[in-house]
Amino acid sequence: MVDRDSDNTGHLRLEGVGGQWGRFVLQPVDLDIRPGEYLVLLGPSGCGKTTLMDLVCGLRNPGQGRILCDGFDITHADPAERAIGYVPQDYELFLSRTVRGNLDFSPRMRHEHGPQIAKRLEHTVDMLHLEPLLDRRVDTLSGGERQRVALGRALMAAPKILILDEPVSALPTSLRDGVCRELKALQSRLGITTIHVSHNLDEALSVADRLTIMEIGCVVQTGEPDEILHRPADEFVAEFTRCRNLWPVEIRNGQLKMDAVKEARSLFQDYGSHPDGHYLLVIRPEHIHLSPAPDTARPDLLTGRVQASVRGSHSWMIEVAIGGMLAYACGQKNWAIGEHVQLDLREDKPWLLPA
Amino acid sequence: MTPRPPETSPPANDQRSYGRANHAFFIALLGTAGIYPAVITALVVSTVGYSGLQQLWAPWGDPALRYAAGLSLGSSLASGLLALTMATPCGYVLSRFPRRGTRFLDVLVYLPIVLPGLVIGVALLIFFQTGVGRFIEQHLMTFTFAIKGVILAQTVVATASATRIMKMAFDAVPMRRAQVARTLGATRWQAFWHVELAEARAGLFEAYVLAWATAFGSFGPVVLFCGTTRFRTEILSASVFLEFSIGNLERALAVSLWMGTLTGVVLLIARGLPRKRALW
Repeated sequence: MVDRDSDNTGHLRLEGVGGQWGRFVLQPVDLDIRPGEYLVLLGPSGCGKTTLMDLVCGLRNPGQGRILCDGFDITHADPAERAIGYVPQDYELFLSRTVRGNLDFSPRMRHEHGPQIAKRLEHTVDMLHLEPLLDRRVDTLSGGERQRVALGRALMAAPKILILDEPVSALPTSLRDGVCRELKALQSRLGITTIHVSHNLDEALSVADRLTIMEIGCVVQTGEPDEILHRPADEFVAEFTRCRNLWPVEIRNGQLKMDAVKEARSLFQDYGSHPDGHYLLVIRPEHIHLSPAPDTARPDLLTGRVQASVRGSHSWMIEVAIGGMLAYACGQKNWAIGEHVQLDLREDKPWLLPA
Repeated sequence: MTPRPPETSPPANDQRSYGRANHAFFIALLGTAGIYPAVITALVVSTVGYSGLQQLWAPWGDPALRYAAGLSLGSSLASGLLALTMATPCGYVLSRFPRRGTRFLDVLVYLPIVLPGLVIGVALLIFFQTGVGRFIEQHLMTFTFAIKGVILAQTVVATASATRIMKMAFDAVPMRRAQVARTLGATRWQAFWHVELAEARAGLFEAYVLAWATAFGSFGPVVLFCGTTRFRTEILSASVFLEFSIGNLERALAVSLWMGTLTGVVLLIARGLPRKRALW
């Protein structure tokens, strides 16, 4: 924002924030969101993302824990005092007001006037290209226009932190990528700490500096996109991030053993640092390359038969049966069902999860 | 075997049956929707036909009936406002806090709709015989057999229906919208006034019209609680009853038609007012 002090503001910290509302239980959440960061809160529908954001905005009282904004405890502060801008899922524009009335709602409620507010309005209108819409009724706007007005309305409150709850889910699929790019560019320009709530992995990856993954009622992992994708904290994160290869393996004396591959030790590096036991080997489908299998069977090669193939928007997902196990590989080429293929793993030391 | 050509459109007999079903729907709709308006029209036409249009304004010369018309109009407009003042917070509570306690309130607010007006009138009389009622009458204001009582009795019956309308109007405004207003710096009062009430204004208007109409036509509670004293507490609905009771059918019907005409004019004006313009 024009008059926002962007340095060292917008640091949000959640310390053991949780509670119970009816049957829904939110396990204590610890989260540290850095100033100027674009964090995506990602999880399936009904996992508690919006509940957690309600707690941050002050629309619900937590049963336990503390919420700190720039070091100040705002756990029980009034929503009006938190300087947290909130763009809800359905935008919730005020139907009794025009676009201009929605934009200047916050300054009006706070009895703020003067050239600074006029400048802020002008800046917001320019930035979001709202000039032609100013005198329109909000119920005549398209989905994209509504989203821009809701964003502008939140920014007019000069928030330190911006919460975007499923900001593109109400938009047509064809517009989503572009809108996500615009949101990210806007956030980079303003340097405002942003929490983007989503259930869509592709959308999250396109904008996130860091991702926080939620399962039903709890936060499972927070990290940079690469970390989440390649080192998932558990099976849920791996499956939610479409890592479908979770192969049961065993480590004995630092050597990895797989039932499906006799000479698995030749495929992977030593796992000397791992204690002996049963694990799940995590390999992303895009790290498996398929090629025609050699005619002579070799025990040190991972081979199997194509069982199914599904076309995605950018690649094919090939399902390969290896012994009693299924492997998923992602590639540009389609393979015939029943074809004998060789699997080349592009990772020599894949991530292991305790089984 | 020759392959069957792909069908690009459903067979003609299917189209015919869809068409018949659609026509049947509209015929059934018009038939059933037309029954009630037809009944009301028949009643109005037969009443006008019986008394004759030339007789409509004949009783206007009677100053007692002119007084009753003025009182009916004035008291019902005031009752409508009072009803709206109470129905708005009641409807808001019923809409926003659907808990056990408010379920009881929901039932309580329904009672004046269900109970006969006479019972409400008697209950008001009984209330003003209790300690609290006597205290109010002795130290604050007199209601029994007074104009203020007319307004009170009309308000009691009108508030119930206005509350139902206000509840539905608030139900149509998502609670999330007021919460968003709070994150934008609005106090609870501002969020209620500038968002929830502003967006429920169509309901506010509808609730006032219904409250006014209910109050204007109320008879039982007013007659029981305030009597029908000429130039004092006689309202038009009581005049109709009085004229009937002395066998003056033409005058009774004429006064009824005044009521009908006045209500019709007010409702037509009300329906014609712009609804979408922001009131605040």
